[in-house]
Amino acid sequence: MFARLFKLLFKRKVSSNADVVLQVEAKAEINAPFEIPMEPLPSLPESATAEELCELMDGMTHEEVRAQLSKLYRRHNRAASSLNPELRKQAERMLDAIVEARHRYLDFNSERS
Amino acid sequence: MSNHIGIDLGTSTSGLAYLRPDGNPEIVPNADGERLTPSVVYFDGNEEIKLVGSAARDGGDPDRTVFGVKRRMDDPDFVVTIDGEKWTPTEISAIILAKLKRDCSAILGDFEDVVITVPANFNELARKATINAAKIAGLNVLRIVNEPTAAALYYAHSKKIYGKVLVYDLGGGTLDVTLVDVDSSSDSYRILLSEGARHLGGNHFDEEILDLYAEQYRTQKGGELYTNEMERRRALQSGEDAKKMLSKLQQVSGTVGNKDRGLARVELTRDLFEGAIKRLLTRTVMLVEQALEAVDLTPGDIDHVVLVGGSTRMPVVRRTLEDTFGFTAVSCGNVDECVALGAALFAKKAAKVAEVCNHGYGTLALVDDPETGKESLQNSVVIPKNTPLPCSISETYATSEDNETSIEVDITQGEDDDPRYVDIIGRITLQVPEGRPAGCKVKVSYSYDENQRVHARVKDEESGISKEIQIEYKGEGVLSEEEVERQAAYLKKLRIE
Ligand SMILES: Nc1ncnc2c1ncn2[C@@H]1O[C@H](COP(=O)(O)OP(=O)(O)OP(=O)(O)O)[C@@H](O)[C@H]1O
Ligand SMILES: [Mg+2]
Repeated sequence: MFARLFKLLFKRKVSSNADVVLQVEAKAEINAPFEIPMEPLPSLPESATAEELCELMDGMTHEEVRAQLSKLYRRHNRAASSLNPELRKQAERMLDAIVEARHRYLDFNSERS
Repeated sequence: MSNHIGIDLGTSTSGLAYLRPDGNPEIVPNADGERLTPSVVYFDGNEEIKLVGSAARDGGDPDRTVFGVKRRMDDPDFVVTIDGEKWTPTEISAIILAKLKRDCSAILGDFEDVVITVPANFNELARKATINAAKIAGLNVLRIVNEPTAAALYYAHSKKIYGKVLVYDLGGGTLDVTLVDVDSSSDSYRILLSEGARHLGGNHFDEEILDLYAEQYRTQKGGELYTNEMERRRALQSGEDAKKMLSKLQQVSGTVGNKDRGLARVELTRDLFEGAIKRLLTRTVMLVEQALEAVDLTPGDIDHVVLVGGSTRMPVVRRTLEDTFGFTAVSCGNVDECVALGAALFAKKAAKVAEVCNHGYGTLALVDDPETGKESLQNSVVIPKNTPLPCSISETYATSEDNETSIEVDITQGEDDDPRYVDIIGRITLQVPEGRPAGCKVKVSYSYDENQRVHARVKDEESGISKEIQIEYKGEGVLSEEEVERQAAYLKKLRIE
């Protein structure tokens, strides 16, 4: 794979002589010294259903639902141990939604299968 | 004195084992006559003494009792304050280890060298914190080993289990699923993969029972089961006791409550309990699926499934594995001791074990999508998770703009392409000469040692300028080398019982 380095504009630059050992700031600030123009995390509205959170669409086959849920599980199980508290919180909510959707669509005695 | 000592520093209980001259590992009991020591520390208010174990757990004042600190080992900001003094998770763990060292050396003779186990999914920070805790306790860590790996060694040794083995380790705070290829002829162990779920274990089942109790209490008494930490702890402990009974009985009843709002009789059936934890059990199933998928295996490819951790005593755990995957799991009975026993075996057989890295590392880069032709900011993985250790991997990138004089490389931890879902744990900045066009090559290399510590190196190919770092974390809950030494001297004088 060949990729191009991203040229970033930093609000606060990491000192250029921070050689050998780079000190990473405490968890809460861990992203702060490295402000990167990234899209924010998606917001998860209180009222969103498990289907909405997991982006399950009408007409998806059993296999498509399974693939979608397992992809989301991988992402959010990892995120549940992130250093970023906001991400960890979102991940817990998503894991609950993933499990709820799975019970509804993929369990042996579920309504759909 | 034995040369091969293993310690399982668990969320709920900790244990120490040594290798007997006949080559069999054995648990060494603590001075209270117990084979496992609850990982609980009580800071007494009257005497300058720290209680560890059952006495601490059943001691009383929750403001002076520290439980489950292992879950905080990867939190750089976590400290507990008692009598105005701050204690990091490392120091609390050191007190537990010091108790094990003192008690067991009365039986084994003095020792310092040990192998300590950690959950497979422990990150760098938590591994370093564990090594520091041992140092403070006057121990020298020969190696850190993953808990499921240690357990696999024990099963191979005691049950002669070989082939593709899936270790299912459900303890107090975490679930680890590890696939090991055990070769009987060479007695060697090749880890194929390790996946973990951090907040999934016995403690979370206890919380579900607490909710059921609170609901029953509200119905009967019209009030809250607990309004402070002391009341909550008591109810939680009753819940855990009931949970253990439900591993044998279909139904249990008991009384919970307090003297102000009165006692209530609570009932729990196995069905009700299993229904309440179904959500959590499904998460365990999905982790096993993820593990199998990652190495492209089906349940039929697995030769044995072995159970580790106290929570695998719940019949529903075994049944879920059987119903979902058709696995007939093997249990050694002493599921909460096998990690310590395996750690003692590992102390002797470390050279026969090949591990994999438990986290992926990469960097942020603009990546071309060959389909759309568009560029997007992505996490570009350099060392994928589950790469065999030790390893060193490089990727070459190119600068994106003319006249870049400062090249900044972000170090990420995580496997997701989407940069929002990974942790940025460091940055390397290289100053390079002016006036260069875009497209200059930059090599990013990561290497991973056997203790799962990561080094990163960035090299500007044209100028030859390079820089190497090892990630260090900072925060209130992280001790410096000097603090570790100071605390080691302090702990020597401390009364720990
Ligand atoms: N008979 C039983 N039935 C149900 N649960 C049990 C039983 N015995 C022990 N447990 C649970 O097992 C958990 C402790 O297991 P174990 O000692 O293996 O964990 P640990 O090593 O302390 O935790 P971890 O490995 O997550 O750090 C506790 O939550 C306890 O309630
Ligand atoms: Mg354990």
